[in-house]
Amino acid sequence: MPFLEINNVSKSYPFRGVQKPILTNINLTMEKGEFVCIVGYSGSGKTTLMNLIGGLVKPDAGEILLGGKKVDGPSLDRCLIFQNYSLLPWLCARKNVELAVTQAFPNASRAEVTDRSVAALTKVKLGHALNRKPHELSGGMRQRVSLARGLAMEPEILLLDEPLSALDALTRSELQEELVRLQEHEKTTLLMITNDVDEGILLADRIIPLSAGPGATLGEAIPVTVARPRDRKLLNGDSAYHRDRKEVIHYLMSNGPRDIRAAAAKAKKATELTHNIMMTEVPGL
Amino acid sequence: MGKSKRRKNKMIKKIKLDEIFLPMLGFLLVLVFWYISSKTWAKFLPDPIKTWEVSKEYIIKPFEKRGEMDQGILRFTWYSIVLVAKGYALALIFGTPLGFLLGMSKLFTKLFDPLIQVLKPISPLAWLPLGLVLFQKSEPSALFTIAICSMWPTVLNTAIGVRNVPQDYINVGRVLKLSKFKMLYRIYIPATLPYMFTGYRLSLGIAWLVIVAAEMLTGVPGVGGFLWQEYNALIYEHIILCIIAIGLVGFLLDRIMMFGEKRVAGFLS
Repeated sequence: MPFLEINNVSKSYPFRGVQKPILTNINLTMEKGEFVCIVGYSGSGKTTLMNLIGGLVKPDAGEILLGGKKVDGPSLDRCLIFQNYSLLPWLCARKNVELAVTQAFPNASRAEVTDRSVAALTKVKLGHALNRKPHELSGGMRQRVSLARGLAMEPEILLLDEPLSALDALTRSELQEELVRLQEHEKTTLLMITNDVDEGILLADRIIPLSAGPGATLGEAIPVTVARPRDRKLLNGDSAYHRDRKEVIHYLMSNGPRDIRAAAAKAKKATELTHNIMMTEVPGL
Repeated sequence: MGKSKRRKNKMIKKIKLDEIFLPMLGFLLVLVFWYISSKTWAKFLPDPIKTWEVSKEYIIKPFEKRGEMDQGILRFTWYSIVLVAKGYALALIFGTPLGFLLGMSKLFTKLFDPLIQVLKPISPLAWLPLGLVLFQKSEPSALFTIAICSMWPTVLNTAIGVRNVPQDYINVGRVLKLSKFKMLYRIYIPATLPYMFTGYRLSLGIAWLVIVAAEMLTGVPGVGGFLWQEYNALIYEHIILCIIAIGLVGFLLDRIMMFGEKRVAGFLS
């Protein structure tokens, strides 16, 4: 039995009096301990999908099962890391994390709560900024606090909604490594949304492309064939990397918004044309 | 360097001119207008000099008590502040939870919002007789009037604050599975605090406005009661003394609340 199962989920929102479909026929299965990246265009309903799995919104149709149980509202073993950090501005970094830890570990003593929170913040390299309020932190630091809050809860599945998109390249790669470590050592299941195909290839076991909205749906899963451990410096020389990348981009181009789709069709026609010419010219090939 | 320093000096001079000299000029103009009025069209109005001479006893010995209705101006003012503090406290104790209920529940809003809109514009002069009917004594009815008149900014601002709590914060609370109680005091109350404080400041302004009316009608000793008594005793100089005292105290209270409001807003930035 798969760990996470999404069956035919659809969701629409009212927009100027009409129901506008956001997601249609979403199907997804994930095994325990797997790392899956969903790659898609901005505005295609990625955040809605996360909120559905997180239990913040209910699907119009279909169902989401986690460990065989139907998702009905939020739960502490399904931790959602928001794209816009969503830190409480009146609490310092440590208190923001502590609030989550007290909820996730209701029997923990005061000291244990603090220890776990400090440990999580140290893990994301914020040990020096424990007592700073969110407005005293940079955007990247806020995102790291938000990530630390999720890590400290030790959930069974971590739902990451573009958590690294606002970070500088260095912090970003550090946190990517932290995510890989989390999957390897803590056996956490990770589902991450990203708009960066390379990030997906570096981290995920499988990449699932999301078509452009309205009525976006998930494409066929593309298994990442690059062998682990993956080294970002060697990635560019890896033929498996180029193959995977091409496949994901091909799907996104041909299922993108109308203008991109047209460009993709044109490009495809051109390659088909050269292909045909090659076929006729070299019959023995 | 020298140039910029000179410019800085010039700026300081300009600020001093704007912030000290101009307001003083404003006061002076009113004094002149007052003086001219008392000599021309308002024959019964005492002029500024006479007002000072008749009132100085009350200002120089501001805490002296010579009789029930003959006390130093600050002593009277203090009585009024104490009465306002009690009524204002009642307004906050009832107004804040009422605001939360209005902000949180659509049903409650539909049930009571129209009623509140009707009650809001009623003058203290209309409430006070009802207070006297209800409580039979002057102090409780004064408190009732202060509370019911000054409550509305607190109620409405709190409700607006609760409705404006960002969805992001509420989502955090939901993802963390906060209990209803924790949701209230970890998310809703801190997120609403700046709005609440604006309401508290406006409420205090109204409470101070109401006190004079309440004291005039009930005859409780205080700055408003004194004012009314001196009007009846034809000592018009003291009316002006009371008016100035009321204005200054109101201004001070507002400044104190503004300071608090700024602190709270900083806490949320």
